[in-house]
Amino acid sequence: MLNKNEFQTQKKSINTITLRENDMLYEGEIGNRKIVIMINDEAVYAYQGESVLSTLLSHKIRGFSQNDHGKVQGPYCGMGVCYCCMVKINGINKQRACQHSIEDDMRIDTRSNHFTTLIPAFEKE
Amino acid sequence: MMNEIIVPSSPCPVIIGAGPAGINAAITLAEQGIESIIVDENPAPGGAIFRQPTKKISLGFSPVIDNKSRQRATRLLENLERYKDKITVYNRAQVLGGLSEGDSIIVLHNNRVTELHYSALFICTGCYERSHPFPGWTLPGVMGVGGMQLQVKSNLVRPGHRVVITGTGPLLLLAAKQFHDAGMEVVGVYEAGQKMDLYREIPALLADIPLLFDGIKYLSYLKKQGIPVHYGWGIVGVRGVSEVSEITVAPYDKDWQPLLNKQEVINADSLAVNYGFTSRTQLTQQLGCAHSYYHDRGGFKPDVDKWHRTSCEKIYAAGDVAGIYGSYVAEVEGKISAYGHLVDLGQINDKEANLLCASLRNNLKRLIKFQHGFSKLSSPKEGLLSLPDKNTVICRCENVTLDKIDNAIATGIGDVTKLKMATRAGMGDCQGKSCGDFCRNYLAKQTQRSQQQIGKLNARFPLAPVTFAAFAAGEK
Repeated sequence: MLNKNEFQTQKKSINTITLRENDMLYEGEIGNRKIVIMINDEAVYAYQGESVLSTLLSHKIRGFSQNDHGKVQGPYCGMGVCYCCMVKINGINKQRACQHSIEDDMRIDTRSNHFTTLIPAFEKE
Repeated sequence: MMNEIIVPSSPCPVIIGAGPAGINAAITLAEQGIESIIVDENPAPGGAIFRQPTKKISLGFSPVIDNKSRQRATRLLENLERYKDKITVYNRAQVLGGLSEGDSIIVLHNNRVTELHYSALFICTGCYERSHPFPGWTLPGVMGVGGMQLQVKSNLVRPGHRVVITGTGPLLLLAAKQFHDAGMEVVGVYEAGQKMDLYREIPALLADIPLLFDGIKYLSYLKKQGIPVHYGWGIVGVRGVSEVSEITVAPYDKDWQPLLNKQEVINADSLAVNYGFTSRTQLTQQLGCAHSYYHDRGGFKPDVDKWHRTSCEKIYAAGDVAGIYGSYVAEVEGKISAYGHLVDLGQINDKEANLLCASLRNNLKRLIKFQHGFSKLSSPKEGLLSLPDKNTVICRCENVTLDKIDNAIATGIGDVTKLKMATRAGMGDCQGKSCGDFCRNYLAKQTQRSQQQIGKLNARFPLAPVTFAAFAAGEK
């Protein structure tokens, strides 16, 4: 994960306009502050206050979660019940993307699960 | 929004869930001068039905939301705002469980655990979409209809481009309209119920003409847009490499067994699926309330009397958690449960309460009659249990496949708790909310035992994953 300085550098370096292909509205129609956050150490656009799940979906990222057995999954219930959309948010694993809102300087890591990274043997039963 | 839960000096009523039932219960109490606390796990009050937009737009609401829902949501939230000195709402607060003897619940909020004592507990946790596993259902791109709806109606983001809708019930038609309005290509709606069964329920549906009219309106809209609605059709399976790319549907017979010789393959990147709902009873179970089994009304639900008291003292249950009848019924039940509490407090007597609730109850009768029409049409049939093959993952959290469950059944396992011990199905992060219903119904079918014998997955403390750090933070 990037440290704070690297985060700032990376944030400034964003020149390429990353289109949010799945937004229903045009940029001018949305009153939320447009900010830059990090998804897997890559700077992307997000709207302050939208759900983390929406940011991921707007960038066409769907298979972003990994369960305790290393299987990649996507969002399923979309309302906080199934725990299939868990990502690492600001260094904390197992956060449901659908229940968290985008904030400044947010760092999201997809397919992150401390079970499968700490205990790789766990999966290979 | 408050960062920390402030424990009141003396216990007040605590309401779990800020949907139509919970908010109406709080407002009714506030009208009588009673302060209450609402605990809700979502970012803003309203529940799944009245989820507020996360984006500031000139319309105020997502363009996919019709005027009627807009008005209902506005009225409810304005009322909540009016009583803000009486009602404290904690959002993003998850209930980990309760101690019914100590009259308190344990709440996780901002990575900190707090014990909250209550003078009365209103459980208005609603329901969630019932899962029916089929091959490929764990591929990214398969989502609940309600989950996809939240993306277009609250977040204004399209969860996919070309979507197929399968399942049962009036929600499918509304969703099809909303997805289309959101700019998604809706290939078709595949409703498992037969058209003849729908006609048979018309007398019941006539109980609520405005709601029936809504349905007809959606249908004619879909027809105009060229979106086909197929009755007696449903999902067979989904295929794709890393995401959904092919969806197979087929006609269903009267038990919803797919007729595989007539199956059709559709190229699409998304599947929205909803074969009914399940009451969210984890908290009522954990607190020890008595439950009964109702197949067509979402499985087990807490037993409640006419004032929505559960079998546990001081605990009430209202809305979809106490039987799935939708948001209109939930609004009424929330009010009735609050009047029930006023009776228990001695603030009003039974006679006064009955008088106050007379028109509410009349309304309820009509709404429930309408909903029963749909429940007969849409109650899930046994054929759905035949969808998964032996390699289909049943428990998404613990990766338990159907053959592991079959092996366990072959060793003589006859109840769902033993099945969980043997296979880990239902032991993961979601605590069996996704696989519990299938495991129960499959076990009942394979072993020819009753639902009572099979039992239910016991909800245990903590009801949501929690770190030790959060407990430590609560100690300070």
